Amino acid sequence: MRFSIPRFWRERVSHYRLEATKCRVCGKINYPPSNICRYCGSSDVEKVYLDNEYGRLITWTIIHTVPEGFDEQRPRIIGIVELVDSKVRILAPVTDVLPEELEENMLLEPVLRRINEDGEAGLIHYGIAYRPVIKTIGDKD
Amino acid sequence: MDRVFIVGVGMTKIGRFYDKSGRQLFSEAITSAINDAGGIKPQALVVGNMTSSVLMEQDSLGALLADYSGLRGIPAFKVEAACGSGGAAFYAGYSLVRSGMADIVAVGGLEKLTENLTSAVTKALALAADQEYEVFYGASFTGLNALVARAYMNKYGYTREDMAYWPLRMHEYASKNPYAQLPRKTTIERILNSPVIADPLHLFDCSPIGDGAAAVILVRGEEKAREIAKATGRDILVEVKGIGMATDSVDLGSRRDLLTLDSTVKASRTAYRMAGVEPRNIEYLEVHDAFHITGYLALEDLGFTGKGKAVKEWREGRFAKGDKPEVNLSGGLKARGHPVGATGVYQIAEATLQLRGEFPGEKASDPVIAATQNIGGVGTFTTVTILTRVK
Repeated sequence: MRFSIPRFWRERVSHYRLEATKCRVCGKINYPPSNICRYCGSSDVEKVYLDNEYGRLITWTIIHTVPEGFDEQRPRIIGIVELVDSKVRILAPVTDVLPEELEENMLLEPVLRRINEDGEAGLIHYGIAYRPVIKTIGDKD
Repeated sequence: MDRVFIVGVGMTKIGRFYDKSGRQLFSEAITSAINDAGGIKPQALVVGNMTSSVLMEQDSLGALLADYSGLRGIPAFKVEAACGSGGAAFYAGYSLVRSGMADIVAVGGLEKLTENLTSAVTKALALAADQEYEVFYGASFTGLNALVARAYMNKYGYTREDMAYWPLRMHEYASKNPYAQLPRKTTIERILNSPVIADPLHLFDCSPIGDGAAAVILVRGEEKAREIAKATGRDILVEVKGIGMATDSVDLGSRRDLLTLDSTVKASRTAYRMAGVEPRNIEYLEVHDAFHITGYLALEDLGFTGKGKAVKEWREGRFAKGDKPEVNLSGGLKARGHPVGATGVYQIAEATLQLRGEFPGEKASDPVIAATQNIGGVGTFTTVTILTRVK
């Protein structure tokens, strides 16, 4: 095992539920969360969760030279997703899609996925990825 | 107020040195800087380095490199600011001299990458990004720059071919630079057909992985600088007229604007104000083109052109030799090479040689005012330095 177990235990809520902090002074949402607002410096913040919002794809990359530990997931699609209501931008994997199907502003939904595993005996890491919202006949745009 | 001058510079060629350790490379660079300054002994050493803990498995770097450079005992420490470590080390070294803590300070940079597996280097360089919220998902450092590159190309309608004129020109300049890692010309076709690293960035859009070390010697006061110039047979001085440093978020998601390097905007404004110059006064410029996109953004955010215009103007021939400013005649990070924590020191050494008229590669057109811009992360840190030639 190469990774610290407490680190992933500590971050489980921000990784599984996109826990963020909202500043009661300037109103901005901080993701990743911070006890001190990264925009105005206030420490008057409350927890909010962003895992129930759709997002739009702002930009993406298809990574062929992956960091150690992701060799079996090559090529890996990583995007920046802007959530439709809060306008918060999340860096996350984009999944269930072919590279050539990706387009700017496509509508995405969050889904819990296995991200990586820490060797044979270590923790399996989960987190939020985004996948295209599948439209069926009769759906409105 | 005491003025600060650069009186010596030294660099190693950038490359793959299986036969030399980090301490050997560094001692070569600092020895040539000390010799260039007439043999004066530094009273303190500041070292820029990013990955020694991980890839050399070596901490205590300041003391180690001082010892193996014949400087055992002097104050010495490492400064880390990812790929911007060299610029940040210069910022610290300048402060030591300017404040009067020391009269003669060596600022060095060292990186030793190539003896490791590419996947291990990729992981080590990704430590510049947010481990808990970016690298956790498998993002590489090239991948993060690729996110910015695609957003830029989409917004302004540029193709991969439009972008490719940066690496093309850098290879041409590097072909004349004896210190360059990739001293050979290339073609648009080769750039476009090179293997993909993190789409839309291909191999030839990126700086190479290389080993290298560079050093500069700083002194306080014009009298001392004149004395050294006389002893080394020079009739001009190179003065540090301005320096600025700024930071931004490490993660890209929370940036004010994905396509503006706010740290570069802030650091450059500070440096310009301190030096009493504006972008239009700058004749020579070395920018941090770790990827073509960061080179283009640097030109925009340093104030040399408007947002979205750098690629078009570059392709039309702006910023080339003979223009004002002349940019990256060294070949840039793209082709001179990018020994991460040493890069900021290479840029300052190169700009110094250009001001002296001594650069051994493509020579600038007799510049008096030069600037360097060194960034760490995807614009997480920027240091901007303004150098001038003094008769």
